Amino acid sequence: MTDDPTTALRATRLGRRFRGGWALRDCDFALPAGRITALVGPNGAGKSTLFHLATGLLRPTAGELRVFGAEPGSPAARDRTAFLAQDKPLYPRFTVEETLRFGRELNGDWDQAAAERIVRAGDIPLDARVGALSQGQATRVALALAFGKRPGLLLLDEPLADLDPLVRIEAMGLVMAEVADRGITVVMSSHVLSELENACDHVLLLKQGAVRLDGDAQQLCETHVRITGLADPSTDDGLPPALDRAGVVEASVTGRQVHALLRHTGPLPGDDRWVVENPSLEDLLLAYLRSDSTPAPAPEAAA
Amino acid sequence: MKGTLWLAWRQQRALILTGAAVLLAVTAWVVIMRTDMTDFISSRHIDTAGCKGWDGGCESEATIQLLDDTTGPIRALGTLSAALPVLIGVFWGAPLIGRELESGTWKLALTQGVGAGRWFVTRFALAALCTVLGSAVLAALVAWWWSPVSNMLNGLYWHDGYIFNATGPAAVACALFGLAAGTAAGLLIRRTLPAMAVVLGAVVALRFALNTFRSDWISPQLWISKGDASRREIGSGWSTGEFGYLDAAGHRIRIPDACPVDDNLARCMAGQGYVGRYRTVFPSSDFWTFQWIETGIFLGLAAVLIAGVCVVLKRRPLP
Repeated sequence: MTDDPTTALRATRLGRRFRGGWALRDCDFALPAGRITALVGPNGAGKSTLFHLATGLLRPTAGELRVFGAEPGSPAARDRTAFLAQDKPLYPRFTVEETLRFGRELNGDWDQAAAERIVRAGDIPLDARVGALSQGQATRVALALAFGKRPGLLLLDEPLADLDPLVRIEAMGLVMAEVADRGITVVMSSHVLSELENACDHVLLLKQGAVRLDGDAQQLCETHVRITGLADPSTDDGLPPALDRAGVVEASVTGRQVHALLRHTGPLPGDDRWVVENPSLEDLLLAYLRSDSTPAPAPEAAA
Repeated sequence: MKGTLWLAWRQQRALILTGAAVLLAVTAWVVIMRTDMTDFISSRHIDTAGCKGWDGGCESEATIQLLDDTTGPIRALGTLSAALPVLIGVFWGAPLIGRELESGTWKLALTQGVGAGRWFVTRFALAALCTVLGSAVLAALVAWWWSPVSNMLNGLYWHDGYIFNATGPAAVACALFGLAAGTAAGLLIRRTLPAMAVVLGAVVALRFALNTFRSDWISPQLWISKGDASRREIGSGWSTGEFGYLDAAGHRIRIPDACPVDDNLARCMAGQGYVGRYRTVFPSSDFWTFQWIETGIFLGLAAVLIAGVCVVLKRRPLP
């Protein structure tokens, strides 16, 4: 397989089965290099499994995954990948300085200056024990360890979970600032969709182990519309009769109002009874996250 | 220190320094105690070299006092040395990988520039080196302290558990086995505490089995005394507890008290058709045979366990 420099992470028919069944199945995607990809999905969608496959902590059951063309877990891939696992593991008995030394000793190409800068910017003393740090400080140290590695690909599994709102903003700001001038590819999973909207320019949405949405964030918003209007009495679902039902991601009726989010395929309702607008990324993701569990319209609301 | 060796040192230094301090204190204690003992031996002119076994002539008040004073402390040191493999397995082997898996830090360690192989080999090699050094020092201390009063009267004999399990190459090999068993248990169980319990059980069970079957590995010597001559004294040997009479055809009759040992012994034996008496004994030189057999067993099992650990570490996910 050719090494395409514009692709950071490429999955080909990727699958991973556990005892309980397939965590990921038949996934095909190519995440662009130099971008910040939001990895979105409900719990159990396979997000952590994907991160573990990308770091070589797991091997695929089917298909393959490539990090800049290299097999995850191979020396070439390990050198270029930094991973912040969901539980943000650090050695609690190490000092901050020793934690950075851990990165220096175990990596050939280490940016001590950057790592120390990130730690100092959080007012964390280098001789503090990691076990005594607050959640936010520990996240900062873990990020310093990740950035010190000079990664080409940074994988962040729920980096903002367990953080209070102020620390979340600080942590996101740190990631954005470090990523901006270094061209690092980031893949970040989060449940906080509003925060992803500001940070991410690419989206990969997993659901039940399959890719449901993959693309440039802005393009996705432009190729989808939200329509709102009075339910059309001539159709069961209240949507205009001419509308291509295959493009409907989600539709719901509240009283006589119909809300729907659709892919921009066929003609849109032209009359002024319908309000047509592009969705925000958060609305778009929510619609895709909901679309299986809540098929249009709910019975009691349809009257 | 560089690379993975620095990490191994940083994570094991508390164990290494604690172990070294304890070893140093024990060594000092043994030096003092042994000096007292040799002073006592020379001041009371006890012929320790000529007093091996139960073969009479040595039961002086001084000798009995010597053994009374030294057997307990040497037994305590032997207990420590014999327990060392369990301690190493529980406190060094089980957390070696188990704690990394338990706390999730294995994800940190295995996603850096160095591979899992080097990461494991370095940390295990450091632990194994310390295990060999520590157990060898303790084993040597036991041998050094015990040798002047070895195999004497009611003292400690080479085949006593306090000595046999506490010294020689088998003690070092057993410590390595403990470390390997703990490492494997930590990797397979992924929890430090249950792994500690398992390795405790495994090392104690293997030791118990070896102590039980030790005398089955090789045949004891057959010691025959002709006619009504008294049986050869056991000396430093290890009696199997089997003794009896021989008939003219050379058959052994395992009836210890077929004839009472008194003035009529010869007549009684002649009446039964016995031509001599026998016993079976492991001479003290068999110490080394037993030691090397058990060394081989411990090292073989340790090698199998570590090979298994290496295979499992290559697999993903880790168990």
